[in-house]
Amino acid sequence: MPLADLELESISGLPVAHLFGEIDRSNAAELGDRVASAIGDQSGGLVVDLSELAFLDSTGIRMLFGLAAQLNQRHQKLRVVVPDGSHLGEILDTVGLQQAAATDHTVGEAVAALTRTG
Amino acid sequence: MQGSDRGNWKPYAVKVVVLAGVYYGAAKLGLNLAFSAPSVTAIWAPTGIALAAILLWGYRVWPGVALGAMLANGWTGVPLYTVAGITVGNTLEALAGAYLLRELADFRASLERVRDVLALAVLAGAVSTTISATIGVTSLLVGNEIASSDLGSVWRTWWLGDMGGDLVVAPALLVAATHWPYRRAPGRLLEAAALVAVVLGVSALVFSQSTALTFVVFPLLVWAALRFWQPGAVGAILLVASIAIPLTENDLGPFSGHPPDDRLLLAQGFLGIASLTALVLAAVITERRRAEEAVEYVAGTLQESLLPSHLPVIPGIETAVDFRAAGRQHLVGGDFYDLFQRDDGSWTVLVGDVLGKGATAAATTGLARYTLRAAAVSESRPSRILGLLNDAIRRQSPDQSCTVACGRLEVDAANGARVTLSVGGHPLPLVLRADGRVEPVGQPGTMLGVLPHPQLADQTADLAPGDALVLYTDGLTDAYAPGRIVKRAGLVAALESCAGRSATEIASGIREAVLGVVEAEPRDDIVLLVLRIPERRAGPHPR
Repeated sequence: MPLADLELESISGLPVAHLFGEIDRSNAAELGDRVASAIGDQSGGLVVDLSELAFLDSTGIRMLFGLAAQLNQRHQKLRVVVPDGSHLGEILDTVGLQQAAATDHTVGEAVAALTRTG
Repeated sequence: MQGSDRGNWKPYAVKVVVLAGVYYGAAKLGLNLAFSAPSVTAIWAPTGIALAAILLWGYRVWPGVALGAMLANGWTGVPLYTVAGITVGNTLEALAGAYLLRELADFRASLERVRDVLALAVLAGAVSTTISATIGVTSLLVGNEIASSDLGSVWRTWWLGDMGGDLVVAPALLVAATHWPYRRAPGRLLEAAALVAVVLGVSALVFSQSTALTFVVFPLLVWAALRFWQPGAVGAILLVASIAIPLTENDLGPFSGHPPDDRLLLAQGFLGIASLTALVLAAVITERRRAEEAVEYVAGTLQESLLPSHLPVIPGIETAVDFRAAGRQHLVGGDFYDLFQRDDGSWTVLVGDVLGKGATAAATTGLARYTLRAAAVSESRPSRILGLLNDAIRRQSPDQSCTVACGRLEVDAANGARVTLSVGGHPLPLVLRADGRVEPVGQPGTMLGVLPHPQLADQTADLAPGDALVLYTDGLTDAYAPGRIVKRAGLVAALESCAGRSATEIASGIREAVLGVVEAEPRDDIVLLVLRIPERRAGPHPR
């Protein structure tokens, strides 16, 4: 059984990547590549949903910063979904992810924010 | 000289007598089981016993071999000069085998290296045994015990029987002597009992059926070697041999239906190769384990070299640090801490976490620590110091990153201390007030190495007597993630209960409350650094 899983879907024309399981240095790079390859040049951005993620280590955080930078180069936006008051949300606040990517509490909010701006 | 001679005399005599007795017993047992010719059997255990004894006890116990061989052959009805020839052959064989192993192969009796196993098989098993076979068979021929037409087949059987002794019996004795007590292998007693039962059962089945099923034994040997290492390998082989030999000699099992000489050859070949396979596998496992231990040792040394060997003493401040490296399977983690004084008398305190593990992370940890030390010389503002580290990482290790909490501590003997903190992607340090309140200090900033312009701010807090500043890495809260994550609220609650205690007591209190008495090794490194202003002693103030 793989440590983590990725499910991709499209909501209102926006790619949404749902991540499950545990992300650590054994799979962070590979998952990052798979998520990045899901973004088309046309879409206004990408939503990465971490609501169902059990564990994210520092290499996973680095992967999120990398994704944000990659999207930024193409003038696209990354939004990360973490549940309100979750430990993961606390961690992402701690590392200052909001400087590179906005966070939302639900996928709906994230999609709405991206379709509004994009 | 005399004294030491006298002192060594008794144990030496005991060894010689024991060796002669065991050799004699094994030889008698073997001769009773002998097949085609007198003095020849499938596995000639005495050869293995003699070789092991000389390897373990030294050349000088050779009289034990000679005595045992002489007694064993003395009353079989063969002429005296034949007995003398066999005795000389068997003794020389053991001496030559041990000599070749020691001189040519730098042999170690624990059989923990593949080269030891191969040397045992070739130098002792194949080469030294030709001595005994040649001298012994010649002696039998001269004594008219065998016909000259049988010379070739008797020589071959003798040689292979002795080789079997060196491949099956000698390893068992060498391993028994060098691995005692057998506590290190991962397998447990219950598993060992199951293994013994399965090996006995399967061997009995395989060697009583004429269908060629001998390959079924090999997975069991793999099990034994993987889980019980050398003791497992030699034990399993002894069990298989103890069933295979008598059944084959009674013309049962997969080797039945052949002439006795051929049956013997097949059984010898099977046991020799099975033993060699199991021993080589066990040695490969040991060598891999040794390599892992060496890497762990290097990793541990490297990490220790990146941490201060001791914390400096700051007048008017209590300090305590708790560092715990991640579990062995995670190798070098990248947590670090530092505490040093600037020229202006203020102190710089650092707790950081380099992302990732292994040698690259260790290199970045070194870069971070020395960059921070150098930056603190010219820069007094913690946010500027962290900014310089951000630039250095982006320039020198572009795919690395780290989180750091950096504080500047100005100690004022009268009022306590003032701390200015900047935090780059790191859990915010906590202040435990004397009355038990806990407050985070610092503003969350961006982790270092990922963005060209990280958000880094300075925040100041005053520490009064009885207050403590607690810096930590996320290993403290995520030590057993995802099974057990301590949220910041849990950490705060633990800290509140430590009010009024010394820095050391606070550190151990948090550690117990947060980590508990979990046996598993933490997933990540843990650093916990406590700086505390002691309460003023009762009495008149000096000013």
